[in-house]
Amino acid sequence: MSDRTVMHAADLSGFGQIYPALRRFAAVVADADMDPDDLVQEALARALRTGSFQDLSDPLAYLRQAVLNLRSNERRRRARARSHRTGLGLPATQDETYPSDLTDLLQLQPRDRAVLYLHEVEDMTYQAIAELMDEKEATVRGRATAARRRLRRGLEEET
Amino acid sequence: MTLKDDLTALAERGTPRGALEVYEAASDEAAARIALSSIKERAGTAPRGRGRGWVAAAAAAALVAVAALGGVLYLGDREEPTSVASDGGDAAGISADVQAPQPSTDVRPEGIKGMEAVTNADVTRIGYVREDRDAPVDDEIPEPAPVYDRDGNQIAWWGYPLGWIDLETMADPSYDFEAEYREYLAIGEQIERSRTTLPSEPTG
Repeated sequence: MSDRTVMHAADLSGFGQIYPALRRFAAVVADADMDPDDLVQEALARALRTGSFQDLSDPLAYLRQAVLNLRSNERRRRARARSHRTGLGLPATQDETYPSDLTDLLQLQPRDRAVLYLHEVEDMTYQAIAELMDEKEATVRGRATAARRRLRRGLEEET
Repeated sequence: MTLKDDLTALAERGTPRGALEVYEAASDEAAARIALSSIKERAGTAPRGRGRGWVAAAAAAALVAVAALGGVLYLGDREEPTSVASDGGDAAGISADVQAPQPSTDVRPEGIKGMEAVTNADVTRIGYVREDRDAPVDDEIPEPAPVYDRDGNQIAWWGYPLGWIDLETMADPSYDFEAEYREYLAIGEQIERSRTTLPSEPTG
């Protein structure tokens, strides 16, 4: 077996271990009509363009950060794609609906959703989230507080 | 439902494609961009072959693998795949002494009806190739097909399996599509062989 084949297998194995967590994270930060796997794929593609997956010291943290950063690029890309699709006479968007609770969550800023998810579901400390998102801990705490307040307000308006 | 339940539900929405599929698609995407960057580099001032490391070679291979498997070129985002030509014109092969093809005199169908939309690698340009291109014949090198803009002007070539080839690149006397095609195909076969054996092989 060649060195490259061994490297490929190791990369694939390593990615397989973090894929479920990464995909869930992408599903949280992506818009409703975005395919989370598209974000995961693009983040990984960027990483692979610069080197092997094994070169990443903390692949999950790195790729989560990449997913977050790419999400804004994704919006721009999708806007460009919509103009292409319109020019080709194709439907401009895909409709995807969710129950109201998820809709409320999806109305938050992606970074705010990321903070809530990492803290509430993955039990990460605000300090660890701040490092992952390259923000101050106080900023991250502020995001969580504001996001919860907004969700509560949405709930009150519904009732 | 608690906030945690909602977040968990959001995290688990949709059907995951799976690690293998995503990894290979990402690998192909990275490879394609590297390979096409290499082509662009050659179209500029770089002599043929400059800047080509193993990554670029693997890139080229993966590009072939995708195309050979009937892969898709995604138009902007990936919601609406546009099929990559499993095509290539009359499949008569390219004469080795033809180094700089002239822009095609082929007559484009009216409008974009009957045309297939294609884009360049970084999705900054869009063009159209005829859908009624002849299918490729086994063991023959497909001839690149002209890519037109909406006004019917030829703006590039579409060479299976390389995809979009700028006019300048094709006109460069040092650019040899036939050699490029064979090189891509050979490395692609190697990668395909390695991929088909990977799942059953131990990694440690």
